[in-house]
Amino acid sequence: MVMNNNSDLIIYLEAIDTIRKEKGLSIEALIEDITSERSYRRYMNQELSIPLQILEKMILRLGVSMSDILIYVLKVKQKPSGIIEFFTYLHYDELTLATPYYKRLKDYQKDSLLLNTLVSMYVLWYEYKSHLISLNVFKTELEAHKHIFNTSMDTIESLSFYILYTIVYEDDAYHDKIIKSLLENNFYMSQILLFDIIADQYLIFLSNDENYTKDYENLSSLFYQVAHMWHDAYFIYSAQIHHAYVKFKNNDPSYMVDIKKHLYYEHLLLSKSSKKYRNIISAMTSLSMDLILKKDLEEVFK
Amino acid sequence: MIGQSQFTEVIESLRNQKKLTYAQFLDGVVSERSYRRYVNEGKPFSFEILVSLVERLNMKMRDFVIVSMNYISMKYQKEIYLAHYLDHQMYDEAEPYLDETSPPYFTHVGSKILPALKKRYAYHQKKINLYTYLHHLKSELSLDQLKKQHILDRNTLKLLLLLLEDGSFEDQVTVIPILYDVILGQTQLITHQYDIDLNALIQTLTRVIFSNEELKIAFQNIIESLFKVALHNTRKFHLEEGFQSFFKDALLVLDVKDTLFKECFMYYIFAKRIQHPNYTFTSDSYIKTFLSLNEAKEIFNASHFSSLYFMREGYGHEQ
Repeated sequence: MVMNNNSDLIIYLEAIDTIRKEKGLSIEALIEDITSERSYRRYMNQELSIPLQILEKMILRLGVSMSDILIYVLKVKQKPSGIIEFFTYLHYDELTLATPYYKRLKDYQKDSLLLNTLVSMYVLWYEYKSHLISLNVFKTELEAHKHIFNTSMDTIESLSFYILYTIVYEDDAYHDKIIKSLLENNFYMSQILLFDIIADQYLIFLSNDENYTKDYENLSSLFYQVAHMWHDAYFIYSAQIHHAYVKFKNNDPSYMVDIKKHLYYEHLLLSKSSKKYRNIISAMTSLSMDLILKKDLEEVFK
Repeated sequence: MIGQSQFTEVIESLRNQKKLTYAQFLDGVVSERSYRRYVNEGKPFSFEILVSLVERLNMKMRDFVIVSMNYISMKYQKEIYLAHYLDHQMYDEAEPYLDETSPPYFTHVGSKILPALKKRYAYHQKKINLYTYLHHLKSELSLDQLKKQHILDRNTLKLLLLLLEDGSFEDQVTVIPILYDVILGQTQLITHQYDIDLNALIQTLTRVIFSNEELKIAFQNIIESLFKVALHNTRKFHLEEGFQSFFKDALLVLDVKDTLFKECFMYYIFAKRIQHPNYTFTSDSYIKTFLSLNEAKEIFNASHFSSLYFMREGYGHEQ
């Protein structure tokens, strides 16, 4: 007999019960020859562990596919934590937008040790960016929690931590492992939004260093594809500027088109002008951001 | 929709990817002989075995489902491409895939969405009439049942949106309350791409109602709240297509003299310029129904880029 944690299984039973109600099926009709009504209610109240075989029989009785149940579990029963929103706004220095999520996640302990710790490091990053703690305090906390994260970076949490660590310490000691993990671990298949955030963080870090041009190009290319896959304008905005910079370095004159797109996105996505990509942009053009757009828009109204 | 047997294929692929031996992976769950038979014959695992093997992979079920969907979407990507091109009415691009893609379908677009889009394509190509196309949509939907239900899956949602766009006024009047209940949260949307599907729903509903005078009158009580929802949704989900659609629709309900109209007009131009780097005002017949070139230039000349940030605090609170 395979043992499972009942608290994990209750979400499947809740999905079954919801779909039962939607189909107008009575409990009796659902459980006939499968289990007793008393047991069913005890399973629902989590007084009794539900065997997987009984769950499976009820799924068959409902006439739904297992993927329907799994998608229900995936989307309906998973309460959004706000972690991705918090990480995104923090990454883009949108502290006002990040604040409600900061308050919600300040004492976050609902997930695995790795994710809980990563969230707590981002909470500290918010506090540092908001001038609530000093850089030294933030660095000390990062150092103190480093042992929790595996340097092989085989989880996206560990990879995210070491990217944050690298940026804060401005130290490329973990570069080889980070770039290998980003390029080869396919985290974007299951954790695309977190992947987008950390990929952009690392691209900005690499953009300053001529020694890593090839890695920058490879990661930029992957990021550009992944960002467009998910249609999220924030990451397309970021991908566009790295795409421009790679073109610029390869003497492709169409890089200005990408810069303009990036700047238009900035006005659609941010609450204020951003300095985040200014180093990259100033390496490509000496024109001010507003002037680039003004000249471009003059073409529209000709 | 993903078939259960495809979960078997994904499990085996992940076992290989994680370099787990049969002994490590199967101990106490299922015998190696049975496991091989499941894999070789493409048989679905029982729920019990599936849940246990996902645990052995050290994955959460939600991650496994997402990986599975991506896996199947990659393997049968022609279905995804075809659905995308048909959905966006890019028929030249769709045509090469039409002959190569036939039932049975395997991906999440396969069971209802792709056949419905193919019917719409056939209607647009004048191979079937409107009645046949709409009859197909309605035969796939149980509208009476849907009015009472509080759950909607993404396949049904897409069919309802097609009926909303292409159906008669009576069809639209039937469909709109069902869709609006999803926006209000009174009906749950079951989908693995919640933000994208909700966004498509809000965009389509907004566009159809805002651009139809009869519907505007019939549903005037929801226009204001629908605009607020669309604004909130665009900011919250920040999907690429959301901006293009929202600013276009916003111009239909805002007063030309309103400051918000002027801002939305500029954002509309930004979104257009992102989409088409050579876009010009004079080539856009839609925008010319609101403003002349001179009026547009006036708005542009009076605009201050330093305050033109859509996400800034307070934006849209005038509404």
